[in-house]
Amino acid sequence: MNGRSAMAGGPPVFGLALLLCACMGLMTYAHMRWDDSLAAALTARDNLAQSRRYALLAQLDTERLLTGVTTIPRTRVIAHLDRALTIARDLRSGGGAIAGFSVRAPVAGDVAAAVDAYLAALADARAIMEHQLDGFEAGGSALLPAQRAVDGRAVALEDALLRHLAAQRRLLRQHDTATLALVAILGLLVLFYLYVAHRRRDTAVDALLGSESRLRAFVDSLPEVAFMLDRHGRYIESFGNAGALLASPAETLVGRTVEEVFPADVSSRFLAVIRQALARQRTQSYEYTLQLAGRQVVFDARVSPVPGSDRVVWLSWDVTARRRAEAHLHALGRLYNFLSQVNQTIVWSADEDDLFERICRVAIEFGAYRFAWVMRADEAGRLALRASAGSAVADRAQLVSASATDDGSVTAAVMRSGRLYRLSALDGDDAWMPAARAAGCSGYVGLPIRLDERVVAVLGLIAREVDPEDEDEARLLDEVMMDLSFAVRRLRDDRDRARAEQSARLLAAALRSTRDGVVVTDLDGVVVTVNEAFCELNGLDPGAAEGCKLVSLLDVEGADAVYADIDRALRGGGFWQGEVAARRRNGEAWSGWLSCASVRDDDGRATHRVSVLTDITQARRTEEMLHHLSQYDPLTDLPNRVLIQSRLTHAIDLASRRGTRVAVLFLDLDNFKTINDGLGHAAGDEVLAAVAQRLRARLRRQDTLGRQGSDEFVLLLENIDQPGEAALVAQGVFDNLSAPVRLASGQDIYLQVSIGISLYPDNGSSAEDLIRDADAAMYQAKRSGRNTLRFYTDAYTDEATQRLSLETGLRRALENDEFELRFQPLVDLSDGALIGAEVLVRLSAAASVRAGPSQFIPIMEANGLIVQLGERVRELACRQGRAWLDAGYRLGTLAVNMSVAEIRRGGLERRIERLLGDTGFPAALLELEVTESSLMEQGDEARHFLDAIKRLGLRMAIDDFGTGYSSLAYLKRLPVNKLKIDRSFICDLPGDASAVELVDTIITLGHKLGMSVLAEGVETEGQRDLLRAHGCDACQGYLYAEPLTAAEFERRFLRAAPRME
Amino acid sequence: MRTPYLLAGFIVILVALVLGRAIHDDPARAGDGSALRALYSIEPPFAYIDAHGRVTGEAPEMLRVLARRAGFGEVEFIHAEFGQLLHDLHVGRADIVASGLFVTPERAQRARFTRPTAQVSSALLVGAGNPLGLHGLDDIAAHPEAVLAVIDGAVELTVAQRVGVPPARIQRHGDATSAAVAVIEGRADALALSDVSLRHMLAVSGLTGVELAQPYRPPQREGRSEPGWPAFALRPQDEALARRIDEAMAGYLGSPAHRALVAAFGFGPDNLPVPAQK
Repeated sequence: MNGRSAMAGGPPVFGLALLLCACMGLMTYAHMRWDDSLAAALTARDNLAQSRRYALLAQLDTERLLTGVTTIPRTRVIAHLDRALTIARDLRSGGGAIAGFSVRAPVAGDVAAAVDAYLAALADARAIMEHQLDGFEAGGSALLPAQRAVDGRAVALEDALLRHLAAQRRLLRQHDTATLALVAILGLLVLFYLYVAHRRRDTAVDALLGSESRLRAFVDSLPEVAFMLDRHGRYIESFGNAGALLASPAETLVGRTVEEVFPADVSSRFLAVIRQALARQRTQSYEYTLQLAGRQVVFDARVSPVPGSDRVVWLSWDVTARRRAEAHLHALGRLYNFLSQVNQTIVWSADEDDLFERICRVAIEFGAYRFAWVMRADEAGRLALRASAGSAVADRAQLVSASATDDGSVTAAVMRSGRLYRLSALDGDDAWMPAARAAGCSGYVGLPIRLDERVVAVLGLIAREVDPEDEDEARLLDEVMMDLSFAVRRLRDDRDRARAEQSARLLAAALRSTRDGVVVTDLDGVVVTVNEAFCELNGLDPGAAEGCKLVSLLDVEGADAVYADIDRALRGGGFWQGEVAARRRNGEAWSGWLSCASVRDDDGRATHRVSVLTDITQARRTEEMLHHLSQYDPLTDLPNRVLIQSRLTHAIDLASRRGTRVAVLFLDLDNFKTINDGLGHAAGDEVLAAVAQRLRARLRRQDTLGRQGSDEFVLLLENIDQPGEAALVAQGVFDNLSAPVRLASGQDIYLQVSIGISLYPDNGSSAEDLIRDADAAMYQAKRSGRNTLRFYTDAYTDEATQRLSLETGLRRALENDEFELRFQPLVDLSDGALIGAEVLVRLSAAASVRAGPSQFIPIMEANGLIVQLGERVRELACRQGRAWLDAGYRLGTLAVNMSVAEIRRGGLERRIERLLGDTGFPAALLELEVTESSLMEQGDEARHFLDAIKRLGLRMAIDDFGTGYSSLAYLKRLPVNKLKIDRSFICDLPGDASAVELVDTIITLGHKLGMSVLAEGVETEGQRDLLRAHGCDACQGYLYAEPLTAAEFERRFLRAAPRME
Repeated sequence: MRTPYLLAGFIVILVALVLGRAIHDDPARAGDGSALRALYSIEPPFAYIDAHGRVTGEAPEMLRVLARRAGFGEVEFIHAEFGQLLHDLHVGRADIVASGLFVTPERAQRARFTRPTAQVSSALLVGAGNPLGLHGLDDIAAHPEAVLAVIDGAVELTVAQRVGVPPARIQRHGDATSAAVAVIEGRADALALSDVSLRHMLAVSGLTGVELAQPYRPPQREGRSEPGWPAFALRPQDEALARRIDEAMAGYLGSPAHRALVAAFGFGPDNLPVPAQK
């Protein structure tokens, strides 16, 4: 019953209680009314009776006294009357008590009046009696009537009382009637309530019965079993119709306890579950297994406490099939998991051993196998344990006890059968079986692993139990087997591929790293691949080569012939190799050794050509170096004796054809032995190297310096016209070696050299002769006092001596400023006006030597003094020019000759600029003259210089035009203002027609090139007229004046000409 | 479910108890200031009416004192015949009997006695000169013709019967005076009554021709004489009232006031129920 119905039951119950209370109240009220009435009636009647009795006793005593009885005390009459009076007064006052009734209800009305009358009668009688106590006899007669009056009053009182009581009774009847009616109503209400309650109960009972019958039907239709049990496990009731699931027939079950039905261990668990359900008042789930009719039945039970009792409802399902299915599913799930893990493992495994190790671990971990191992067969059919996992077989040696594929072991059987192999009992002879059995395992699964249709390994699995009939398991294990076979194959393939790749990588690396250029082309010569070395060798951009024709990449000499030859050789099935002279992209030549061969496919067809190109430039260089070493002295890198001989022979041939001379200078260091002995051979070598370097610096291109012996050098001078030239060179050598040689040790060595000179053809016609002669001349020189030279012919020696003295004189003259300027006027041919002067230089009379310019200029050019001289001349000229300009003369331009040696030395333009700045001579009035031949010889260097001169504002003239080999294109680019026709052309004028043509051509050419043309060496008027006729712009020569001193020039020309204002 | 029923039941029971108590509740018994109604039988000196018509005697006077002491108001005395005393008491016509009623086992079963107010011996009133030489009830029993007068209902009747006085020779009287007159007139040979009653009667009534039998052998019971112990009698259920009276008596009995009060009615020191107080 719940709270709601309890509340619903409240009001009726309380109503009923109230009704009961009301009834009780009414009854009590009625009782009290009746009690009061009864008490009033009783006491009134008793009081009346007492009063009358004692009044009668008093009357009796009185009468007896009156009759003379003396034994009666008179006081007794009084006492009787007193009592009658007292009681009568009680009656009047409504008091009184009798037998437990007591009342205090004053009377009224008739009764009161009757009582009063009675009391009055009694009082009268008492008064008479009291009065008679003194004199009894006197009043005796009076007492009797009084007492009769008392009687009469008493009767009247009784009547009144009875009437009063009757009225009381009527009233009580009415009360009772009302009470009865009330009680009847109450009773009806109660009955109605009972009826309603009854109806409700009936309805509830009907509902309960219906519910119970439904529940009963429901319960009876349960396919399972259910019980009601009490706390002690006693079966109260059994439900359900699955009798087969009962431990004993249902009818015998009720009344027994689980302890009687089941073994102690089972029943104790049942009781524990029951008590738990009761204690917690919650449904308990409980799963248990029973052996019923020889089969194991798994039950799932719900034990629910019956509320408000110590009973439980125990409902059990037979879940055997479900559990079995679940177990099977679980096993399959485990195998699926195993399969999945196997596949994962296959993916992750790096090699076969790794795979087997992982598979074994996975079998234990995910396949729930107790032990797993892999036996791998080698080529010879011997089995080896490759991996294992698990604990069922501790001794791994037992696994390999049988190690051949043809023995009786289970593994061998699996290998032979090549199929999934399952054993439900381990009853073979394998060594591992006892251990496995001891570990509680009875099942074996063998999975053959195939590689190329051959069983190569067996994965053995030991399980707690194996059902060989389980097709699902077989299917999954087959899948595992196939996956493993696939994995083994894949790993093998991977390994093979990895090896191939490795090999390819190595080859590629080799190709890359080799210093030989390797190029693979197809049959059309298109490059398929090429290595870096090839690109480097050919100066190609790496990456740009592929796809190009090999011909376009490899620039070899005679390419067509070479490639045709290669093509022929390869088509013939052979190969080709040979040296090629190739040229890199930057034009650098190199030598290569080219090997070409065909690359053939598996069918033997040529598909590509591979060419290997080895750079043999270095080898060639080495060869050349060896060659050089054989011809050159390693210390000085000068030609050795052999090469000197060879060169000399060659020079003699050349000179004999040209008709020129060859000079051989034999140089020997004086006292070299002293140096060598005193300072050591290293110092000696150092000295020799220094000497070689100094001498080489002075060489002309056509000259050859060689080292003949230890301290002997040979200098071959080709193209020699005069013996003096050789002497001049020899003098240069002396000068060159005059400065001390500073050794690495800081020591200065002063050298002296003796030079012997022989000349071809003067002294001999063979190289040996000339060298021998020169050697002899050198000995002569040594004998004559060292540091000197000797010609093999004495006359040449004299000449050389003279020339040397001239040079010395020139040097001194330069130092002493013994050069003088001469000015030869330049005349405008159109009007004969002075347009300037050419500045010429002469030795002054004060100089110690006498020589003309044609003599000293070549000497000074040869020894470099010309630079100093040029400087001097320009300075003097500019100062003189400035002086004249300051004097106000109209000077025109001053043309100064300039040696090409000055240009070659460099810095000339800066020096001229400085000079102009120092002297203040205007640049525009200074003209520099350079000979045509020297200008052409200098090339670009001269052009840069001329450009710089032009920027300074100086004028430029080409001297001796016509004697050199001018390139007109070159000439055109030069910033030259003037051509000076060489005097050799002029002197033949005007008679020589070809000279006239030539001069005319030069004039025309000069004009065409935008230059003015001046003729040198004009000596006759005919010449002048002709030149004028041909449009020559100006001339100079003896016709006008020889070179004049400054004073003379001023006198004759400047003063004559109009001065500038 | 049970709660409302329990509650309702409780209510019903409670109401029933209240109503039952109302039903059984007796009207308030006499309390402070209310009047006590006392029964008496004229039995001098225990109780009688004096010349002024006033009820007096050892018991009424003592009750008046005790009622005052116990806090009651006036005592209203109503007369009854001796034999009616206990009946009237019992039916409730009065609250207490104050008439020198002796404590006997028989009476003790019907009434609740207070402490004894006095100690009374029996005595034998005989004709002057004791013609039959009666000195005890056993003498009467032994005498073949001796008639014994007794007060109807008095203890002497029982004692006489016990000692073997044949009923035929026992003459019953309504009061002591009638019995004494019967001895004087010779209708009886002896009157057995308490010594104080007989002494008071002889002293007050002025009767002649009778005397107290001297010596007198009180009747023996188990070798001992049995003194009478007058006391107030109450209904057994009026225990509270009885205790009030008893308590009022405790300080009064044996006191000089008590002795003075009872001495007037012929009670000597030996009649005191307790040793006299100084």
